[in-house]
Amino acid sequence: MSGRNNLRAVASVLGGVPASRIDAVLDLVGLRARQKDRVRTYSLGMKQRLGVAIALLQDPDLLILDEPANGLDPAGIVEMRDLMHRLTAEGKTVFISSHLLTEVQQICTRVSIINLGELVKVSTIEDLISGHGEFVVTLERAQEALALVKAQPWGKDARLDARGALVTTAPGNRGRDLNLFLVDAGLAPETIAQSTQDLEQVFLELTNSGTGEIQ
Amino acid sequence: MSTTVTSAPAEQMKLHTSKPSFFGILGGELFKISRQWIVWVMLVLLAGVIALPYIITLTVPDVKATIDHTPLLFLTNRMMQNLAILRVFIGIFLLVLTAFVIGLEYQLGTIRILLARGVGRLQLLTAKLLAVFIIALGVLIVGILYNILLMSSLLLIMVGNLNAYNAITPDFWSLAQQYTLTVLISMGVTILMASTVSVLGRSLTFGLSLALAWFAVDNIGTIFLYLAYRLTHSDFWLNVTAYLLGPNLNVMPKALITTKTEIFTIGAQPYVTVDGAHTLWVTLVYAVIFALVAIVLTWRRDVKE
Repeated sequence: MSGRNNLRAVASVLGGVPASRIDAVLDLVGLRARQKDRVRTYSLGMKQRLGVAIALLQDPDLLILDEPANGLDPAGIVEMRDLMHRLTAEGKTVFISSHLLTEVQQICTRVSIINLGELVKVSTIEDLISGHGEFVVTLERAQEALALVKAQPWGKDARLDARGALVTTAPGNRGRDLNLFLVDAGLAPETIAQSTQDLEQVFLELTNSGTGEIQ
Repeated sequence: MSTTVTSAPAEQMKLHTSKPSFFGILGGELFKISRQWIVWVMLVLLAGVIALPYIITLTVPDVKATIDHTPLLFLTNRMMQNLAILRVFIGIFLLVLTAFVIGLEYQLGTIRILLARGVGRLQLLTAKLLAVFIIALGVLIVGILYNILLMSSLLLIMVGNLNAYNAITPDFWSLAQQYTLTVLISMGVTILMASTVSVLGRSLTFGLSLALAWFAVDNIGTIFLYLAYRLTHSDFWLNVTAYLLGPNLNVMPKALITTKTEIFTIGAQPYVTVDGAHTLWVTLVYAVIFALVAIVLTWRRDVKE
């Protein structure tokens, strides 16, 4: 059957779903142009979007999607991500379960991390990925700067990251003051940015999943 | 994209409160069936199979003389042959259709879409069966009308008029009605059998294979049972043939209809004499077992994947 006929069949079961609603959801999921094509000719991403279209027929306020990006190619992932953003822009709540944390980071506003069936953390993405008040400083004489900063009471935990950038807290937790301190010491930074973590790192930390080494 | 997905409040409320209804499910099933190409392909093939005997008749010598001299006998024989052909080939059509309607939904997993919206498993099965029964009835009626059209065409080609119809007596109509009733009984139990094996296997492949094999096996099975009788000289093997579904359906018109005309049937028949009541009881027992198995399996087994 075609994509449109699949929607018509479900609409018939539900009753009270007008044809205009089918048009609207086909538009929303970007399948209007392919609505008359047989579903078996659809890509996996298109089939996933058809599934979302079926879920949208009754105009729900809440959608629960299980691994919506699973098995999709990069283009399909982007399409699915855009669809999620359109849905949330319409005021709908979209609840996603996924193992693709980079996708979750780009799509979601709030996440719940579950480990071995236990809820470990519920937080906004922003809070989770922001570093612990640290800054990443790129500068020429990083080793010298590290020694200097570590001698300060606010910089005891300073370190160099894998790319040789200085990672440190700032005096008074203000990046401007850190910049002034380094300039006064003759170590003018090239860039200063707030340190962030990606969701994968946060997940591994929270779930004590370790380094992924094979035991 | 600028499409607004959220509908107006009144419409949204209507959409939110929409719930599956039995007739909605039935409509959905009929809609899905109408959109399956295999259904239309099978109907075209069925039309061809029904027309084939008429084409062959055109080439048979002395048909014109038979129509002229014994029009009632000609029409009676042709009516029974045509109904027998309808019984067999509509039966095959129904086996495939039922396996598709029930088995494919499980196989593709689309049944979960319906169940997730509050459709009951038994409610869905009932709607599917009713949809198939409606189509079966429609196909039978259209098949009979198609036969009348073909017969009229045959008469016009062979003798140039439809005067043969004037020879039809009330007995002819009585025979036609009783024969049609046996066709309907056969269609009903065929649908139940195909639905049971489809529910059992929860797959189109399994349901279709077993449904198509059923009648082939119990028709051919009579030969093996007869061989067993010849080897053992025990009547047990012959008596068993009286309880096979296919042979009972095959012999039902002959066993049930009392008329001077020899009743035409197709397929293997039991190797012992059975009466009309026997064929009806055996068929009823099969139908009840099929229905019970389908209902209990659907009711007790959850759909998880």
